[in-house]
Amino acid sequence: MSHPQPVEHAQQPPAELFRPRADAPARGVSAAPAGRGRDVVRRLRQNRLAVLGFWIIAALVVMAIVGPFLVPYAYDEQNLLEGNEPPSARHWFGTDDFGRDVFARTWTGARISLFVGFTAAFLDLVIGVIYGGTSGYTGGTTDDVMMRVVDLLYGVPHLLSTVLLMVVLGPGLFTIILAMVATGWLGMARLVRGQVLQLRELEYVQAAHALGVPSRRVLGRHLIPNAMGPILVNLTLTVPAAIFTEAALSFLGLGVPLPLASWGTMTAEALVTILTGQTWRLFFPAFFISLTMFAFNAFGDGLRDALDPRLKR
Amino acid sequence: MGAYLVRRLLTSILTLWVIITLTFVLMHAIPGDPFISEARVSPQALDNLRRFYGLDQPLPVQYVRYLANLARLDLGRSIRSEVRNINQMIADGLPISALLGAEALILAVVGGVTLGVLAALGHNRLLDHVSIGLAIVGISVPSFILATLLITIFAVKLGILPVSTWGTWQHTVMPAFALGLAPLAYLARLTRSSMLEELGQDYVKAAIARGLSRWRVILGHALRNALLPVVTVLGPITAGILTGSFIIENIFGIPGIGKIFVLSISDRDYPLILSGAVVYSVLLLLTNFLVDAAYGVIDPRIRVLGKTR
Repeated sequence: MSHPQPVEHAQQPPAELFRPRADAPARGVSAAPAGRGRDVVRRLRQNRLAVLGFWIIAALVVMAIVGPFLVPYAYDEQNLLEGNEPPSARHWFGTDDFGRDVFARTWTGARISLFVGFTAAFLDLVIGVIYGGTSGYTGGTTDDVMMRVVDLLYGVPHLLSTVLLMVVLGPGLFTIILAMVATGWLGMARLVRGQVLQLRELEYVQAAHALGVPSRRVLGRHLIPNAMGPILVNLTLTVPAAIFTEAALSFLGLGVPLPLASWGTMTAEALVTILTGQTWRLFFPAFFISLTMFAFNAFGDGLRDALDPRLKR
Repeated sequence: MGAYLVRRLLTSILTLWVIITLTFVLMHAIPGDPFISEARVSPQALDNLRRFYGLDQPLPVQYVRYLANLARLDLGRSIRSEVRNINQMIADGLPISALLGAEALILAVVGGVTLGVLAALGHNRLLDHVSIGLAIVGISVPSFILATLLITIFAVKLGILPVSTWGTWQHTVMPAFALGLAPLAYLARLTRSSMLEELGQDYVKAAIARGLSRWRVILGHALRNALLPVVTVLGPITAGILTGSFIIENIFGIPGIGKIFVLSISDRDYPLILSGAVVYSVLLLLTNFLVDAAYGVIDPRIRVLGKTR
């Protein structure tokens, strides 16, 4: 790499201009990616909704792990003598009609929701990055064929295909994830391909190629870090979508098998309480599913704004 | 534009064929058949049943027959339902679902765009807060929870709306609202940000400088352009309302195609499941096609480029 030679007869600027100012942020060229990450975190922390969302997610994860251990009841432990009890010191969230502890069931439900959400999002990411990355990086006819396939499948509504697959696969935690991922990766593949295509053409990437930087280094240093933003945002917003789909399927009776406690099945079982009055049975699953959806969406939206301030909504 | 729409139509038909084929294969990949649970039926009767529904034929024959029947708009016969003729069942359910879907869609578009424009104009900070609050509720509260909430408040506690089923316009209020609130909130936020962007453009200032009335500039110039992103999301929003009806029609006990479809799944009524998938796909592909066509009408640039993406 050659630097432009200083023009000889130009007057030299005073040397002190070349010394870093004392209050300047310490940031060398090599620290640029870290600086960008810091900017994102700073902008994210200024977004109160996103911060709130982050802490709610953290609290939900902690409670999903420890929650079921905080009470001496298993989620499927029936005690018909203590059926339909309102919240009390013994049963913090009350009991359902079989005398099962709603607190234990709620946090077992949190485990299912978060597990389904994170796993589905992760699998979407893996398949989407491999498929979309290959399609975008290879280009040409391969890209055309691969994307036509995606276009065809993309026309199927997600909930419809998931429901149909659930019919075939049968109820179960893993079949739900499988049914959701079967068409869920399409959006991610499109996004990744678009990013790769766009970034490949950018001048700094071509410049890196022209300067003889090896492809692997271009990929790792330029393409992936710059494509990460939208992918990360998509990932964050896939989680609540997956959690919603699981709850909706379980609500329809197509989701996790009984007696597993999903927030969707708990809500469906508690529907009758609208008329009979044990509102706590409906309230807790309904509240926590809404809280979870809110937290992930708020965090994801905040992340999008922080990564690209121009897109500020 | 014409060539583009023709290509778009062909793609839609191809997608439909893929959906039909995949669904057909999936339905027949399930071990056993719909009569397996009928323990009391004699083997002879089972054979007759299978022959009656054409299930004794090899799969490729069944597939070609099914496609041929579909081409004649004959959806076949249901296995479990009393009405049996699927065309009749769809004809009974579709108007109900269409009315409900249309109400939800109109509520979402009219309510969302109005709220978004008013929030963008910033006259009223309260409206801005309302639109943000609605957006948070719309994005956080799943439709089935919103529906139960509405039933609890308006039907059980206040008693001003019927709890469920179908009949008068009062029956449509809660389901339409439960279906339409999430897209309404989304459209309100989208319209607001898109409107704010347009209002900051030079052509708006120029129009005001030329002495056009404020409302003419807002409605005639800025809104027209601000609606472009709104039109693009109409396809996904309609899809959401369509599939959302699976859940909402079941909660409210509305005899539309959403309820028929979900029932067909718990009944393992394969011909009906297939038909449900076909009807939903046709509705959805049709919507997407119309949205694309509308987009070309609104945005002349698309006609030149011949592409939406």
